[in-house]
Amino acid sequence: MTEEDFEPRIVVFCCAGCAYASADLSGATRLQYPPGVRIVRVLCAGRVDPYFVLRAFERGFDGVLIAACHPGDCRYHSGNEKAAQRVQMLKDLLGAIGIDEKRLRLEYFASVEGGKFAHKITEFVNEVRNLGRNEVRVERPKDAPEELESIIADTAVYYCAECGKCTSICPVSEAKPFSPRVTVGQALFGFTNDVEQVAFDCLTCGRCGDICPAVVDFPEFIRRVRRRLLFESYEPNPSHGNLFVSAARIMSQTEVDGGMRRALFKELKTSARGELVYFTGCAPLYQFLFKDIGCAVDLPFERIGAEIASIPRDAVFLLNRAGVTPAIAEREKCCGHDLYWIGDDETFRALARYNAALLKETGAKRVVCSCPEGYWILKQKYPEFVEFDFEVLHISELLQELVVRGDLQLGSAPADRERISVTYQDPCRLGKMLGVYDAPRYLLHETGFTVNEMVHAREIANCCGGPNAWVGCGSVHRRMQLTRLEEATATGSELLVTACPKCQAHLRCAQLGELPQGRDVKIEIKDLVTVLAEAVREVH
Amino acid sequence: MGVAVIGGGISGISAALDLAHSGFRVYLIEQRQTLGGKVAELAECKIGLAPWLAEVENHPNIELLLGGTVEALSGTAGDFRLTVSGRVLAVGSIILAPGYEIFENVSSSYNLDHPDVITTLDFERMLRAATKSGELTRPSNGQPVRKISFIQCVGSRCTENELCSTVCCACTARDAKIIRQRFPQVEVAVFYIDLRVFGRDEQLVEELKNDPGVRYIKSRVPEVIPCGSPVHMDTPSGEPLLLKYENFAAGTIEQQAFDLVVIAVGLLPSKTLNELTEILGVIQDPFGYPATSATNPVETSVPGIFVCGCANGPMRVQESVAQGSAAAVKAARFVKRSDQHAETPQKHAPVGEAPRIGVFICGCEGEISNNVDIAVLAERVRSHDTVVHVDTELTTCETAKEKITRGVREHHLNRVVFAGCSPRDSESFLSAACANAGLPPYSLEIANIREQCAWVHTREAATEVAGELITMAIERVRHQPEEVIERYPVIPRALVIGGGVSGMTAALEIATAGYEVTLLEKASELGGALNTVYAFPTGERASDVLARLKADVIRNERVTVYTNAELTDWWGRPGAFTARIRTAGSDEEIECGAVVVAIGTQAVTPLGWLGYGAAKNVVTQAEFSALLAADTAVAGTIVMVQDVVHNEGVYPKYTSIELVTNAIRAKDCNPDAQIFVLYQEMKTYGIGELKYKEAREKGVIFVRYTQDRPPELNAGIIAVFDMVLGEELQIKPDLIVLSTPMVPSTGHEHLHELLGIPMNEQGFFIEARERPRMNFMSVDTPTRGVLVCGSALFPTSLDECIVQAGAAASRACSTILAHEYLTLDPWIARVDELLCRGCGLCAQVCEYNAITLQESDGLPIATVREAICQGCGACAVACPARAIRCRTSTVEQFIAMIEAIA
Ligand SMILES: Cc1cc2nc3c(=O)[nH]c(=O)nc-3n(C[C@H](O)[C@H](O)[C@H](O)COP(=O)(O)OP(=O)(O)OC[C@H]3O[C@@H](n4cnc5c(N)ncnc54)[C@H](O)[C@@H]3O)c2cc1C
Ligand code: SF4
Ligand code: SF4
Ligand code: SF4
Ligand code: SF4
Ligand code: SF4
Repeated sequence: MTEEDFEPRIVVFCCAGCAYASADLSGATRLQYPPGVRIVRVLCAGRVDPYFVLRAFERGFDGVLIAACHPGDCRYHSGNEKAAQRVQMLKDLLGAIGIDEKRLRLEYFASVEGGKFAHKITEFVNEVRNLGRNEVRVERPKDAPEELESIIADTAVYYCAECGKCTSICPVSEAKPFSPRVTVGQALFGFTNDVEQVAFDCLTCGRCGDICPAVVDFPEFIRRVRRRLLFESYEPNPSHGNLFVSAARIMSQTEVDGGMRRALFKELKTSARGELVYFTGCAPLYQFLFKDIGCAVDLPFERIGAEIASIPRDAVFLLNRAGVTPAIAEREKCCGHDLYWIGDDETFRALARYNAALLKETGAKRVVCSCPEGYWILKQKYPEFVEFDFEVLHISELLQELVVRGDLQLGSAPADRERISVTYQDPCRLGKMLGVYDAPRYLLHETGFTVNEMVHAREIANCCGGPNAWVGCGSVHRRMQLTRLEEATATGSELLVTACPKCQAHLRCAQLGELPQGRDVKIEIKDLVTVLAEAVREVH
Repeated sequence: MGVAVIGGGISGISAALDLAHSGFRVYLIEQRQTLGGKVAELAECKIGLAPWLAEVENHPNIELLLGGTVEALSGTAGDFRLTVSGRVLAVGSIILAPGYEIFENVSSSYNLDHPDVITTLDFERMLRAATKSGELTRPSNGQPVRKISFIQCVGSRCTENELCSTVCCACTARDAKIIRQRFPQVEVAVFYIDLRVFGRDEQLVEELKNDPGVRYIKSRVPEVIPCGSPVHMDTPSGEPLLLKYENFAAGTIEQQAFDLVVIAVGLLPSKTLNELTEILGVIQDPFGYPATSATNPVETSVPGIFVCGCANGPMRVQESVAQGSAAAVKAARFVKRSDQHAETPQKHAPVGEAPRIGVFICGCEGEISNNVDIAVLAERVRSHDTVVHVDTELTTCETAKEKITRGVREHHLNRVVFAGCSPRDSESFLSAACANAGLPPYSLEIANIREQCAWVHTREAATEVAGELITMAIERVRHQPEEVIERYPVIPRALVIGGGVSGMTAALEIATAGYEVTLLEKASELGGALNTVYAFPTGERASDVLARLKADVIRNERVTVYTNAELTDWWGRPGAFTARIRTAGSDEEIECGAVVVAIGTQAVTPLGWLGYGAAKNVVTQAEFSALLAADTAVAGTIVMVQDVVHNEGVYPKYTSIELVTNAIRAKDCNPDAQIFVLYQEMKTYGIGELKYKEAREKGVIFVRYTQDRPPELNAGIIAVFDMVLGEELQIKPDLIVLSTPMVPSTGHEHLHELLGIPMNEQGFFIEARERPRMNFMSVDTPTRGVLVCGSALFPTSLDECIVQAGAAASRACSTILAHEYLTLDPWIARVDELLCRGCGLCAQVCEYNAITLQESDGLPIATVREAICQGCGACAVACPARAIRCRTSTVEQFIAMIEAIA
């Protein structure tokens, strides 16, 4: 779909060194280039955050060009090399979320290459013109922000008994000055600013809601306050440069192809249609997203990302072993969990509508997820927002069913497996919020592991300290993560098993780098299905 | 009373800027109507020069006398009267920087009349044009060039100009690299005699030699034979120029056709130098340059008159810049600081106020207003609610400056958006204009509506684009987080690390300029390498030089010397550092404003090379100097060997000169001694060429070998393949003398980590890179307030060490010590401690070691070392928690800019 007369809008991030000089020279020699080009001066190409690029695409720009000094010429030694690595990671990601990777380019310029500047820009603009418009245009919410009173009424904040139980139990309050009780009080006084300030401190883990005598739904209260913020500003302190949220927003408006999922499952048995659909979720995206650091350093994140990306493969492998061929909706999009939790209802609804329709097309009756967030959102929120009447299961529930029925053999593990003891982290979405505590433990037990419980387990399990919806992951979060890891190591187990990719990412991230002496957090962390799949592979 | 700088090339500019920044008044006299000298003609340099020119043109302490002719001089140092184009200037001292000319008397055999035969300088111009157009074409017929050859040493190392021009080998290499990068289809051949390149350029040549598209051919080409001449019969068609040369390896005469021939012409002193020296009464050396000495490399025969740059001998840009600085610090001794103080006191707008933005749109004398509808822009701009003042009456740089200063004051602005020319032209003087009105440096943003709009789009489009660029700029300043810009007093003391010739010279220069100096020496004695050297090629005895310097240092009451002392820790900000120093029994903390690093280098002990260490008759060149100095008898056959080992350290710049000097001395002492010199490249650059000639005259035999067939010692016989003769020689030496390479001193690694000075692959320090300012910086490091000089950068000769030491002293004064107060650079990174999770990724990506992790309450937390951070932003992108951010380029600002025009 090419429109000859459309003028592509392009952002050019120009390093202040040679590239900017070459743009100037191009001007000084009066070399014309297309008028849709906007140059943004950055000190160094290495300063270009992948988020800037995604944001530009999110907001409808047709192309992004990063202009850097030639290799070896960077004033800051290697900013241009870093930029090149980030561009590669972004191209992979863009392809996966439905934007042609040709819309992003990196070019090197010497200060004297004024001609080259005009030439390359023109060439790029023409290439983008041939690709057609970028149809994505994510807008801020259009209705007016919800009044605090109405949020208060809906979430029972009025009934707060000022007992303080929530603050005593809240893992965040332990780590920094933050009190759900005070926040609730401030809301009642109408101190909107104060409430908004802490909106992203809460992890929405739900522990306070569980114990509140007045059934105040604090997480939902926080979610709606966050939505208010969308009207005026942006997610504060986005972790990983807000890539996850940005990618989901873009995906909500593009057409994604099924290549990524096809590649993921290529050696396994899946079908295009069927009553049992495996919902892959965003795990495969992690292989790109976690390269966002993209610099010439050893990349611990990259490895974490690769392992998370393979969780769905292990899940389908186990199903195949039980004689089940799940259907895969290859063109599935992000479930929208994180967008829901920052209050971006519009994008969430778009994604939910799309996925629901796709599942229907696939012939689904039952949908199984291996990610607790996807599980929770499909089960709890999809029906609220869109037409959605499928049975939603967590993989552990389905596997339990299959083992009980005798379709899947986990046991008969080698004798030495008996001695391996593991501990299990209850993900908040799976445990506290949906009450699935036993199935994972049952499966571990059937496989022959001894499960040692942590001090805080099941209903009172502590959160992994993950930043909710990828917003903020600072010292507060890491302290929580380390405390949790210390609980895990204190059980004397060899392995920490979790059923949530995000728990795994956050806890493994917390283990990186050097720690002060005396802190013992070295324990291997794996996903439940990975552990089970490894055991099954070993047996046969 | 000020300083007169004669010559507005890069060395003159460097001198003028250093003086002006230190608060001295400068008259910069340039005979032409434009500044920049030759650098302005070199392809890559011109653009890099622009920011320097803008600084010179706008500095209140510099008065420019363009088109000025020096006519007469009277008076003496401290009280000269210099007549320039009829005007009499009262100056305390004079700096000569009239630069060079290129050799014009090229032999007719090279056929320079042919359009496809050009000089290097013309080729620079051609390259610039070609880069713009994307095509390198033959001047004769506009056809694309496929084969270029360079002919080295034309007008150098010959009877008309006996000196080696020093820079041309490196220039050719650089041009070859550019050609290969930008026009990969073009093949390059370089005909040379010796490859006189040093340091980084040596690596460049290695790289080129590995490029199949580049050939280095050791052979001098006698003539360029154009198409149509009878000898040109069998040239492949289309390549009009034939070169004949001797293939040394094969022993045959070969010929090659090219379609462009570049003659690497030599450098001569500027034509005006004769006249100038006569007016000023300065004595010239036999080659026409003002006479100087190795220990006083920038002082002429007349006190108070100094010389720098290519007027002082052929040299590269970096060296010219260093010489300019070195001359500046000396010239400053004869004048007082002008009333116009180095810095205007600033008060800053209070933090926390709502943004009050002023937008200033410049018409640029029609350059912008002719193609952009400024009235429309003004209308658009007024609609922003944070914009409280719009001014469209700016027409020139002068009015822009004035109106901004006035506008900020009158309308109580705390943010300024300027829409006009490129920030590369205007940033320095506009931020000064903001500062004059009390605004911190980060409150200015420039929308480039000239280069990016008026000059490249139609009127309608240009206006539209300009409107958006201004909106983006408004958003950027609107989201600029405010910081208290703290002014802190400068500690008027320098710490000099290393008590060798460079360190001592730098210490003395700084002390003479009026500041305290702490001089740190690791050993128990001052002197460094000078303690082991006996004499210099120029004849000075090292012991005399050393004794003089030491006496001066000890006598100087501003210099405090610590021996057996080391720097163990260091922190603080530029102008206010604290250094922890460990001496024999105690630790001491010293406060200082600037640091000069002069830790030198160390020689490799060549154990096992040609029997060194085992046999008594194998000595190093330094040991041989000592023998000669002690008048030990030399006799029999002496074999001197250079370049034997290539992967251990680097050969100092003076290696070949030292070698030929010793060879001459040995011959002088015993003309019957047989001396053989085994070498690969004879790098007797500059005046060293005369020594080389002298050695040959005196009967020293030079044997050139190649890397793949190095000399071997067997049963007391040296076998070597002479590539010039194409024969293997067998020599029975009585004495073998080895020239040895140098490696970084033990302190390099430590100071690299502590002070953030980057190192190259070999472990030597490298100076700051200002891109695209080319490598104009000579002694500055990326860490503001930390300078480096002497062999710590690259092992070099006495005179260069002294120049660099002077330059480091000059930079220490002009950038730090001469100022009463300083502020931190606004762009450096800051860590939000609540957000930092201590993962250390930022520290891993930082190229400057600017981040350390410090424990806080059970967690490591990142801390930025303010003095070292360059504000590049690499860490800000790497941080998963977005806890570290550069203060003038935050995520919010960039997102706001994108949002503003989405
Ligand atoms: C072809 C070529 C390529 C080169 N490439 C490189 C390179 O790649 N890298 C590198 O480092 N170096 C290179 N060089 C060397 C470099 O150009 C010099 O090091 C540098 O330009 C020297 O600067 P300068 O200020 O000493 O002299 P100049 O640049 O010559 O400046 C002297 C100025 O003084 C003015 N002047 C002269 N006489 C008077 C007078 N009587 N009164 C007032 N003003 C006067 C002149 O007009 C001129 O503006 C190259 C040289 C050549 C020839
Ligand atoms: S637990 Fe519930 S009732 Fe108690 S203070 Fe918190 S919100 Fe109020
Ligand atoms: S949801 Fe969790 S993090 Fe948020 S306030 Fe409640 S307990 Fe604290
Ligand atoms: S040897 Fe000297 S004169 Fe010859 S080209 Fe090289 S630097 Fe120039
Ligand atoms: S901005 Fe960051 S990466 Fe760059 S120098 Fe400063 S601390 Fe290092
Ligand atoms: S990368 Fe960010 S979170 Fe990690 S140590 Fe650095 S500032 Fe802290």
